[in-house]
Amino acid sequence: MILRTGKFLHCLKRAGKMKIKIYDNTGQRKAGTVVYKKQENIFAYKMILPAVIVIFGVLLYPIIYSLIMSFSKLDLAERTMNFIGTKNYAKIFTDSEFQQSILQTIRFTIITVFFEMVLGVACALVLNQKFRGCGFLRGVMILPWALPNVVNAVMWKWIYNSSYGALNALLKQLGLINAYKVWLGTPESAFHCVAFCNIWKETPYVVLLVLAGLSNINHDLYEAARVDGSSSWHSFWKITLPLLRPVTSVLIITKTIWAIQTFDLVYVLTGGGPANATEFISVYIHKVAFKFTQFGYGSALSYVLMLVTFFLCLAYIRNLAKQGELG
Amino acid sequence: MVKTSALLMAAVTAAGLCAGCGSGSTAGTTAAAEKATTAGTATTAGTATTAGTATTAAKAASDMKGTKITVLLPQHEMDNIGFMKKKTDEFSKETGIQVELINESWDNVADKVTAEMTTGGSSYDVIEFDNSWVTKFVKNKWVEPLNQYISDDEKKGIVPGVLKIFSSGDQIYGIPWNNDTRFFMYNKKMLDDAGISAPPKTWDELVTDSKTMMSKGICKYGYIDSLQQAEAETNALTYMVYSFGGAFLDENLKPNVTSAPVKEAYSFVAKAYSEDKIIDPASITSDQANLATVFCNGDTAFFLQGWAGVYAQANDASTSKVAGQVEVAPYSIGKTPEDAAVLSLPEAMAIPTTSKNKDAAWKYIEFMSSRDFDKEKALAIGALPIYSDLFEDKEILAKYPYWENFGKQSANAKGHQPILWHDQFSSAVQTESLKILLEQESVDDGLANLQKQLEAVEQDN
Repeated sequence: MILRTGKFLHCLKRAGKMKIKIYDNTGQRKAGTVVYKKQENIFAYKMILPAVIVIFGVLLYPIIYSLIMSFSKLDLAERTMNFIGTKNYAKIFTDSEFQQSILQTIRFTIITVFFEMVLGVACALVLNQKFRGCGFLRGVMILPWALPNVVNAVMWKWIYNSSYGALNALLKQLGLINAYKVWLGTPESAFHCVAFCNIWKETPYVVLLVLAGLSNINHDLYEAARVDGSSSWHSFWKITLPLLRPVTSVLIITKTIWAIQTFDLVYVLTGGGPANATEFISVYIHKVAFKFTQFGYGSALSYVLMLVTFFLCLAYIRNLAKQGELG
Repeated sequence: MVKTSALLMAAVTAAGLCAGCGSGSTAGTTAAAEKATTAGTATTAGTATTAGTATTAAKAASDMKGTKITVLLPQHEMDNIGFMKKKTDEFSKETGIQVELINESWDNVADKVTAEMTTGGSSYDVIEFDNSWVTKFVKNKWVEPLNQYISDDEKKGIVPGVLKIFSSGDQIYGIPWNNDTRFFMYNKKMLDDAGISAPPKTWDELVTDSKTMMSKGICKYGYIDSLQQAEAETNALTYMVYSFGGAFLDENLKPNVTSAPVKEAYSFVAKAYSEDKIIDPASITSDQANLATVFCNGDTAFFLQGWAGVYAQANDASTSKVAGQVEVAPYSIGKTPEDAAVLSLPEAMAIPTTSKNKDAAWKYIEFMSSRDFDKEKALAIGALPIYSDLFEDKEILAKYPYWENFGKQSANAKGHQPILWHDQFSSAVQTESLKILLEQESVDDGLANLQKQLEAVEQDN
């Protein structure tokens, strides 16, 4: 029950309780204070409490455990952790294989994100038009993204197979190659094949979100621009792209995060080879932790990766906040 | 407040996206084993022990009726007919012990076993125990000593060299289930068509013969090898180094890759790949299954290190285009005939120390490693026996007369050198070897880099 006097009502929310100071019509505070329980707040907190416990329990425990492990060396026989300070983190600066994996990951991220965005926006612009079959095409277009990553990788592994793959067969029949090529057999070729697989799979997601963004653009703007003599290209640069910016900025950040974390595609397709050409950060961390059983060092590497992703997430949240989606 | 909470949640979520590794076991499960109709061929408890012991075993097995065990093993490369699963179902039916058999590729199984052992999980009761893991697993006390279970008859009957690989001191830690020794095979018809009277004994002869056949259009390449960045690549190059009379590690198990025989081996492979072009370029992306496919399609003339089942597969008209053309050589290839070597990569079954059903696990191992089972497996899928006397079994030799040549080649069988740091060793060998083959580094530079890496790893361990 709320007590209200006159035209003034001041209140403080504190831990679900609302403290009301009572004023009269002249603004003079009257003696006495009524403490009022804001039942809605408490109810809300109770409803989300189980989910928060689960989330924090599932996330916090491994995060903290991994952090401790990153400062330790495991005794695999006794299954104990021996504190070694920052040696694991110091090792990162001398680990040439990790440094190479960072470079490859950055290169992969830039290439895939760029092409996914460009192709995604282009496809969305086409699919945003009204033509026969556009609905069907929109449905079919999403199929690559719907494929599980491992299925996608196995499928492409067979397509790229140098002896019996469909790609070699197609290109040879079209006369584009004279002999079958070993697509995954050289570092550069394998890298670009992996990148292509990722672009093929992830572009539909960009198309989907950009289509949603395009649907929110008022067509009157294009009409007005046409009346003013604007070309289609000019309208795209001056109207479409700026108004798509909230969507594209979110996409760039999320795509970057996903590209950095790419693991299953590479693990199945190339295993990180040939000669570590496709050994990205996540693949290398997996190798250190699960093949070499260096869990301490693997944890330290994971935290480095987590920090990079954390800052990208911060950028994502700030971007959303700027757009007014956070209060 | 909202902003702070949201940022905190976002930070935690971001951290959670890359939650640290080593956080618990990665046990995988598959559907439970199906119940199959019995063929009534297996012995009751599947043991090769005396009648008295069998009775005891049967009693013990009946005590474990209803127990469920989980077995994690790689798919047997020769088992294309579901033989292992069928026998597992028979074991379940006979003993009442339910078995969840998980078969995956060797690399997947290796990842799962490693993760499970390091985290101390108890998801598996019988695990794959590879020949390269013995030192690490025994040192870390991950597997149970089996001396208390294994009978004297089994100890004496199993090929001593193979059983010894899975022992440490006088303790046995694994019972072999796959006597994976590799042999040199060739397409005799291709050699005959090229006017070559006998398979090559040396690497120089191999190059000459390959070029002859390739120039006449008899085959596309001399041979294909598994040089994909995976464990199979390490196997292939280990064999190559052995066949030049060398080894990656010296007698004290210290890195020795800059020695003359290793350089010769790598120089040969690099030249054969890049200049002579007798090695199928697809080797860089080929796993072992692909090698058999290419050989059985008639694209290559030689199979340097084929597992026992390749012969049967290659001569099976339903799966091969070269049926009736493949032979097993009475020797393997070396720099000189005296250097000839074959690689032996046996695999065993072991019981993790964390298993909660050790007795039931042993019953399974006992059944799947009995002499009767071994003979049945040899006849059904052509797998090499683990019992010595079966190599002279008349029934088996009548079906596989070429096993006589297997035996001749086996005299030079060698396995991986037992080191604690085999995984790091293998990873370094795979990467640097590919850099040499892809001409990113010269042989000398690549081996020098490999030596440095292995020395650093050896010191760390």
